[in-house]
Amino acid sequence: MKKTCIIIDDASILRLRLRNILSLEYDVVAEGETGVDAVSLYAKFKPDFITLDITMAEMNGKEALKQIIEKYPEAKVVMVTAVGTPKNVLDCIGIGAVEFINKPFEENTVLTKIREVFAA
Amino acid sequence: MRQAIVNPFVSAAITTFAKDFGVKLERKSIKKKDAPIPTLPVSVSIGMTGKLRGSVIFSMSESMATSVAKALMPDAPMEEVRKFTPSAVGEMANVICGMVTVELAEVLPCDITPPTIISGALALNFLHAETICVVLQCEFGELEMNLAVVE
Repeated sequence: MKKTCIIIDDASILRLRLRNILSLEYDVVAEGETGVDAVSLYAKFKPDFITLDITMAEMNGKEALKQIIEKYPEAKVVMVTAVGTPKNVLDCIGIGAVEFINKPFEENTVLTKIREVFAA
Repeated sequence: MRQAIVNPFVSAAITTFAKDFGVKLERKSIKKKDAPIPTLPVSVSIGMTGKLRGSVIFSMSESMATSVAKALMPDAPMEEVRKFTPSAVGEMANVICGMVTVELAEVLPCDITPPTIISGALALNFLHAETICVVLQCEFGELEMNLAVVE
């Protein structure tokens, strides 16, 4: 059975691109466009992993990451963002993100990094 | 505005177009303006906060905006491409400005706001702010970057 995932990004075209890529190996069970969506969809579906943008309205990705990890410490959260500053990477890994993918990304990079999450 | 601030925006735009859209973007002109008023019909604004703050407003023709979206979804029918075009230009701006925050992280740590797509830009009022307007071009058309940011 395929592992399940949720995609969170405020850009619909990014969600579409990620869905096209992730669907090759995973079952995309839900999508959302805010940090609030991330927290509620994670609680509802409890997927094997969730991809999370950082710069979003309502609740940013770092806050959503914090709330998900507080409630589900075993959650596998993969940050996918254009704002891959050293501070953001360290902050997110410190909170509990398992991987960090910078935009713009290529299909192979996304799949390889997520395979590594489950190989670890 | 220092050249060291302008250059990261130009190189981020060139990298994004090469990597995400597969086209070569080149610098055409650069000039000073009194406000970041876009001159082309499709615009997207990103706010910058932190040690580099202000606004960056990108603008382009409708055909270029469609080409940007088409490059991201080459197999999709045009109706679908048009539906995703606002999101595509917003994401383009997000990626360019995001790359700038990474480039400047050590010297001018800053953050960006989510992109805002501007329709009917000429009807809006823009704050007076010294602006560097960089025009870049590629096979899709011209991309105007209005940089109204201060350290």
